[in-house]
Amino acid sequence: MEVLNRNVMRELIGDDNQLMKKFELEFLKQARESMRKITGLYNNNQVVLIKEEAHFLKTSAKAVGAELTADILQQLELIAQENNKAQCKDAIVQLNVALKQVYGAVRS
Amino acid sequence: MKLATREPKVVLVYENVEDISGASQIIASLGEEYRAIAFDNTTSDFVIRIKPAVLLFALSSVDKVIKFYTQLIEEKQLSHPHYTILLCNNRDSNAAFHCCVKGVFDDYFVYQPLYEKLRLIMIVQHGLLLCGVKNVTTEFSTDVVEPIDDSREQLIAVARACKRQYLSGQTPMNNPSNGDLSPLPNLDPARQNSASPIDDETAANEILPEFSDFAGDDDLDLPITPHEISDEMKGGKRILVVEDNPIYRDMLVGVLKRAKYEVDEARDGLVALSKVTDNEYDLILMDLFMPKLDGLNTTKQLRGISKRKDTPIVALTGNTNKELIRKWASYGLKGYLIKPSNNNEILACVSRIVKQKDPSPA
Amino acid sequence: MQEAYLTQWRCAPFAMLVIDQKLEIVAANQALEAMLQLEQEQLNGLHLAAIFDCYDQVLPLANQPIKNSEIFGQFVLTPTTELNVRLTVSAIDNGIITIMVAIAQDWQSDFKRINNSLSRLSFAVDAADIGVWEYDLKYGGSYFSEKCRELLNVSSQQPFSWQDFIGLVYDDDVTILEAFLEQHVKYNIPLNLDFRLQVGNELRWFHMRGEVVLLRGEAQNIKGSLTDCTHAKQIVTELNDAMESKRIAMDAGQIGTWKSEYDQQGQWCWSWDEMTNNMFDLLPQQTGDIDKLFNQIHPEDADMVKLALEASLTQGIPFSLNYRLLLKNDDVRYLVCRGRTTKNIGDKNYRIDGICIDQSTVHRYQQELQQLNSELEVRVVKRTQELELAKEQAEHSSQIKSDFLAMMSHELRTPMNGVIGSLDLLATSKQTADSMDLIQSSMTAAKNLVFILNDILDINKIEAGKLSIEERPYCLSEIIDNVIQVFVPIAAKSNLILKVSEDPGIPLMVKGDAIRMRQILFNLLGNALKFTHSTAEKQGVVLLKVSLDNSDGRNLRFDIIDNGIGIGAQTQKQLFKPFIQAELSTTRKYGGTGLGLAICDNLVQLMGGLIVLTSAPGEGSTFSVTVPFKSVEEQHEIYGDALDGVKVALRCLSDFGQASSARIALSLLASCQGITVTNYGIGDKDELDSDATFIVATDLSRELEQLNGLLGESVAGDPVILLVCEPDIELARYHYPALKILRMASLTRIQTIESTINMIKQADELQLDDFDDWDLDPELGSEDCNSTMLTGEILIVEDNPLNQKLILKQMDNLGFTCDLAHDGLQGIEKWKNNDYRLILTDCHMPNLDGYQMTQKIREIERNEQRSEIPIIAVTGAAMSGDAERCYELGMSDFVSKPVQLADLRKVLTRWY
Repeated sequence: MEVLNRNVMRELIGDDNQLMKKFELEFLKQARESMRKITGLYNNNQVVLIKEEAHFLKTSAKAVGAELTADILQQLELIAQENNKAQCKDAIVQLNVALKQVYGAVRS
Repeated sequence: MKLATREPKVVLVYENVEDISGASQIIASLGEEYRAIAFDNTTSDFVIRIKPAVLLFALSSVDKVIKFYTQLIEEKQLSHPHYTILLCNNRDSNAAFHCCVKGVFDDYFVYQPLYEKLRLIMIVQHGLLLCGVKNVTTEFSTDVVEPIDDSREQLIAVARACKRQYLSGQTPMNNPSNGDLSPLPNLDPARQNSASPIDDETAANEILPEFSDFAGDDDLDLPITPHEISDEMKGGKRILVVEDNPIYRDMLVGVLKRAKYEVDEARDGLVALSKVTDNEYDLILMDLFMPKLDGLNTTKQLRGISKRKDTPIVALTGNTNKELIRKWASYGLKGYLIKPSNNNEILACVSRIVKQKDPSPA
Repeated sequence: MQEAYLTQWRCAPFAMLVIDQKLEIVAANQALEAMLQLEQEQLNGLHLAAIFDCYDQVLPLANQPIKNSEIFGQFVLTPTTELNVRLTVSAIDNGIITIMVAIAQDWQSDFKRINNSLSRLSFAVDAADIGVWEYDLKYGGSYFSEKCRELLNVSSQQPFSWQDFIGLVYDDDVTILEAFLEQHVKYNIPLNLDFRLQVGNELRWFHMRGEVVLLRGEAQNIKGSLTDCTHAKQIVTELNDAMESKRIAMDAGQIGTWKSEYDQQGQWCWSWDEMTNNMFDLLPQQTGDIDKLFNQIHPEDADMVKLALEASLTQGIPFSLNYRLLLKNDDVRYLVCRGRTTKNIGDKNYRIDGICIDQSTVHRYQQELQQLNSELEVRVVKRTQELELAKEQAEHSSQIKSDFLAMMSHELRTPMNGVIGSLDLLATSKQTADSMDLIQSSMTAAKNLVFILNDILDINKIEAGKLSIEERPYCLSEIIDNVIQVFVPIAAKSNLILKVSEDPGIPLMVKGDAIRMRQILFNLLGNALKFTHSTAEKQGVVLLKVSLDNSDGRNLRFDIIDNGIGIGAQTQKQLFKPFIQAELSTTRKYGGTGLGLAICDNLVQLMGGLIVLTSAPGEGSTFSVTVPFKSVEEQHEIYGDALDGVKVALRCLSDFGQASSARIALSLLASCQGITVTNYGIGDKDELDSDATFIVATDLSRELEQLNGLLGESVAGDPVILLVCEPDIELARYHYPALKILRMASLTRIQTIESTINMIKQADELQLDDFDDWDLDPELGSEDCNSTMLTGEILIVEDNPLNQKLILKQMDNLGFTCDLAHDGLQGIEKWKNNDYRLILTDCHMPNLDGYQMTQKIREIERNEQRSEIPIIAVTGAAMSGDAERCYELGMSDFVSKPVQLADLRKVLTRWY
């Protein structure tokens, strides 16, 4: 699993670097907002609702090839479903780190 | 009372204004153009001129109404399509019934005493619809109609969506005809008749053998036979992409458009249903987990729309939850794709299914 | 009478007669017949007095006859002879008197007669209070009658000579008397004079008459009368006086008198005085000629006068008329005439007395006055009209100016909002420190400009009377906190201490106008900070004190106290008027439009409150705002039970901090239910086992060690807040970078409560990096927002190109792709053809504005039974009326310009 597997997108939409960049940035924006929402939900003790948000972001994470992120999101989905707040916290922190990594990868 | 309009669609002919004030207000809340006129020697001229779609009569006796109405018809004044409603008091309800059952009037309603105001609205509404009046209201203010709770509302929304055929003027049918469907290679033809209540258990069992190809396999795509479809063929093929994540959706749309398909998109099930009702698609690509109406339920509804029940649906899913896929499949899936998939797979799947619709490829 | 007696009586030798009560003879005897040579028959019926010429004596007989009384009379026997007789009453019998007649001696009857006369005279004289005197010229003797003596108050016994008499005469009158006497004696000039005599203590007036008695041509003596005429004299004098007075008065008042009397011939006789005569311009000889008088009356009034006069004369109606005279030379006189009738005993009007006054001059003055009056009125009306016109014009000009001002401000605000929005966005992307600075400065400047424009619009609204004060529940402490937090950095930068003191007794929620309250506090605090400085000698301090008015708790009181440059008395008077700052130099030095205070004053007044300024140059200023306190019926706990059962610890590192920690305790206890606050002393156990801890440091450098001990092994995330004084902030941050540090002085109530809540949450909460610093804007080139590949989920409807760019960028930043429409019409088209999740629309656009577009969309949705798409309005100014309007028309929510990322994010989270 990679932080940012560019092949995924290549295989999906073709070898259009500009378009890929666009989608990557779009993804980061989306992820940023999602991150906020998820943290907010966590702080408001609405852990179960995190599942939907995680699932949603997972789709685009997969689509742009952010495999690691997608994986964490998958886990977060399951944890959230079980309403496990403590584990949730860890997952969210991990997600945070993962996204930072994606950002790094995109910007390079 | 609503201001009198010039071209009322609903006209109420009355003898005593006090009698009809309550009923009149109720009818007015429909929001359609509505007039109440007193019964005198100008009435017939008025009716002739206005040609209302719905005519209500509130005269002092049933006989009077029958006589007047007969006169109008004899003089060939009421030749346009119209719907007549006889308003009467409780005692006359028997007489009114006879009239209606023998086809003189289309319906009757006891307005003295007036117990069921909503019933009256319903009757008038019915009449308007039957006469082909467009844009009939379904929204009523809360002082006329009490609201219902959210869950029921949702239920209704779903049901309504599937009953959309009402609007096209077709006669209501609750049992879709068993239309012929080209046999699908891996799925039970019996499952095509989706309108009848489906037994999930039997479904699972029945399709299990046929699904053996898919079971336990990550790489579960349908056999890829990249039939090349010519661009001309593709041209005119319309695909609907139903997916809530805009990034992925955009990608899919991009993929398809680049392959020269005509693509529409929807972000959730409800929007999808609305699009499907209005348009014919050659294929629907649909996500499983979506907000509002998820893939499963959307499919159910889609199948309920008789003219669309042939439309092929391909599932998009990030989950590899076999149970769920199986369940979904029972509602008639042509195949599924695991997100995000890739260009080739997507196109291959699409072209295969789309081609299936055309018995003779060029 | 018996026959016998009668015969006897007839034959009696004495002459007798009988008279009846009428004194007529009824019987006479033979003797009498013989005396008188008359037969009884001739005598019977004759009156006694007639026969005997004794008229003057018979009276007693008629009334009270006395036996033996005598009367002397005379009988004419023959033409040449007379008989003197003496009549004696001999018997009286029921009114019938028998009288004996005897021949009398001459002298007897004479004597009696004379005696009678004399006594009658004396009696009369006495009764008339006439004193008699006599003065013998030859021998100087004198006689004074008894009455005379009485009048002179001289007793009868007292010897009284003529000299004595003269001695009594008043000094001034002596000469006159003697002259008269001399004249009288010498030349027979009648002695008839009045003079004064000393009688007793008084001086009395006497009237003397006298006649000299001559003997053989020589004056023998003077005899005369003396009467006391003091009384009469007085009356006369008084009467004269009165008459004189009246005459003078009448003369002075130019009052003429007239009268008329009904005479015996049945005619009214007229008379009037000279004044009246002159008034009527009559000749002296025409006085009393009523016709001539009537001639003088003005022909138009003559009838009226006649009628009135007749009425008075016949019916006694008082005469009261003002009429004119038309004299020769067309001279008109105006007369006031009044008259009264008097009735006689027969109840008939028999006389009329009246006056008349020439009031021509008065009349003339009246006329002139009236004319002047009407002239004046005309002038006034004209002047008023002119003024009205001028006023209207002035108002009109003023209105035009105001409208212009308002329009300009609106127009100016729009591009400003664009600038601010752009700067806001710019600030989110990565910048160098310098660029950031510039951006901040531009932001500040732009925001300031918008504030000024808002002020102008406000003052305009206030003057037009269009500003209304809301009454809605709001959290006062939140507003205070809001304003304070804005100013904390500003104060820090200027080295000022900003202090807050909130009375914990004030409820969290009050009723009123939050926005305006904020405006007022913002203005006043801004001013205070602007005009206060810290010098080497003095630390600049601005204090905001919020309290309940002592007197009745019905007022909220805000005191903004500073120790700045102060305000002079002259300036204070002008201060609250718009556009006037302290002085021109102040404006130049400190900037500002001078509107703030005027607006504050107006707002406070509209709230029913008062601003009071106390200040003197060099002594700082205190602005005290008192507004009526309106409490909210239900004090809903804003913080609910967020702090229920929470234990808060307060620790002071020194005694100086006690006051501050007490304030914190009060704030918390007053605002949060179920909270417990414990104050730990300096030496108390060091474990931080409470849910939240406040540590108060007053002099950090000294307290560092202690603090270290307390904090010890605590980690970031432990619920601790350190409160320090301004100068210690840097130090604190240096030593404890992970610790939450707040300023003690400006700690507001809300801050206290919210930081406590945050401390509780902190333990649980995730505080992650929000990637605010991510630079996600693609390089130039892919700025095409209308890319064909991507269809937006959000529709932006906005006509202004700059704003379009801005908002698309903002949305992009938030991760949304958007479609664009240039106005309402295009908006509807796009909405019909595409499937959006949300519409963000500006309100004011050409062709079809935001409101109309919303209405149309909602209508279509209704007709086609579609569900409502969220429509968010972008409004110019968040005026309360606007919000309502938005919702009414079917809009789901609104954001107000300038639109900042935070606003967008909030609204999108809600509706997307």
